Amino acid sequence: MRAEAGDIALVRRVQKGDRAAFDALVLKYQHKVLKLVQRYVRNPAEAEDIAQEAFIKAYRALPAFRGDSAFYTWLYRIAINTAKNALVASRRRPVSYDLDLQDGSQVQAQSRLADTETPEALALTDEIRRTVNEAIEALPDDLRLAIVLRELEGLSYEDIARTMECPVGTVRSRIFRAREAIDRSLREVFDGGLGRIGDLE
Amino acid sequence: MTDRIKEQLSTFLDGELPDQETALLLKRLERDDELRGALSRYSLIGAVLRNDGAVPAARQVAARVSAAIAREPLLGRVRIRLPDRESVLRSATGLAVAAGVAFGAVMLVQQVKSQDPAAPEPLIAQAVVSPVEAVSDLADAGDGPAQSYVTPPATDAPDGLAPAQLANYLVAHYGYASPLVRRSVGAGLISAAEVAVLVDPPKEGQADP
Repeated sequence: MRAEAGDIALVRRVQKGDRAAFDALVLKYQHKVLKLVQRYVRNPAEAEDIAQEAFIKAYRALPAFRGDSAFYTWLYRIAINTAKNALVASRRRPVSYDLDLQDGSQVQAQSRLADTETPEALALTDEIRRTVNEAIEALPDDLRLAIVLRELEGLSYEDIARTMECPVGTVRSRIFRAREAIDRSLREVFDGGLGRIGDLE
Repeated sequence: MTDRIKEQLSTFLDGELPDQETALLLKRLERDDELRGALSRYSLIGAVLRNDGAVPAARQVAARVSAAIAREPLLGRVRIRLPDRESVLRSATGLAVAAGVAFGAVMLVQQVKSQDPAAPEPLIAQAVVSPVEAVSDLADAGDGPAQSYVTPPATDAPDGLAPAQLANYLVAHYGYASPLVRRSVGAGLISAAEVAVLVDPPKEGQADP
């Protein structure tokens, strides 16, 4: 899969000393890792600490990562182990029961946004979800189809180009324009009421 | 931040950006907070669509990780510290001395074992002194180096002489031997002494000191 190859390329850069490449991987996967950790640790601040620790562990272990599995699958295991260790350290029971899966993608399908956060966080979650869905609905058909095929179906640009019968460059442009339109709506949400855009790095 | 760069960012997120463009984009990401924010939000959009991301809690994770990683050594540029020349020379010298002592001990033992009773006394055996002489040597030694540290058994027990010689030799050179050599040779001496005692038991009427 193309995205995984992109991750591996970033990993190779990190292994050669490029920290910015690791920053990019963190920005890309922080939401997923945090969501994963929150299945074990409900306290948001504690979950963030564990997610941070997982990323740092991953960074330190990256020289030994050979790319036999997808980067996220590898990162997923580190995050799970870090969360488990944190639970053992605090002598608490996990709140999740079936997370010993080998493939992180299986968890993706089962995941739901955490419902155990602060009222402010819950409000923000609902607002973001509603905004994104509304923005998707408001997109022109060609942009909506392109972003859905990419984000939900996981197709490569080449496959999307074949499906939509257009050049790869057009696919690239359509996906960007779809994201940009949704992002504009998101920024309005953050700037308007909840003022958390600066936090969402 | 231009649309062209943001389009690169979107393509990068999907792993479809060519390597050369990726390198440039990563450099820009390093110093452009706005671009980092955009990457995080683009990623968030996907997470919301797939329902697999912790939306509001992703506050400072990336920034904190980035700060922590900045304190880590750069991967791929970690240097292994080699021991300095002086310590290497010191180790090699010690090893050579220990090996020499061990070799000498082995040769001596082999020589004793192959000794033919009918053959003339080897030169080293002539240096053996009687118990009385050994004690007097020690008494007369004063501040000088000791000539003998182990009292050899009676001269009518030739089998016991060589271990005593060996013991004296080794004790005199203990300071140069490694701990491992000391232990192994020391154990050999103890067993040799036991053999000597069995061969030449104390005579009746002799009291232990």
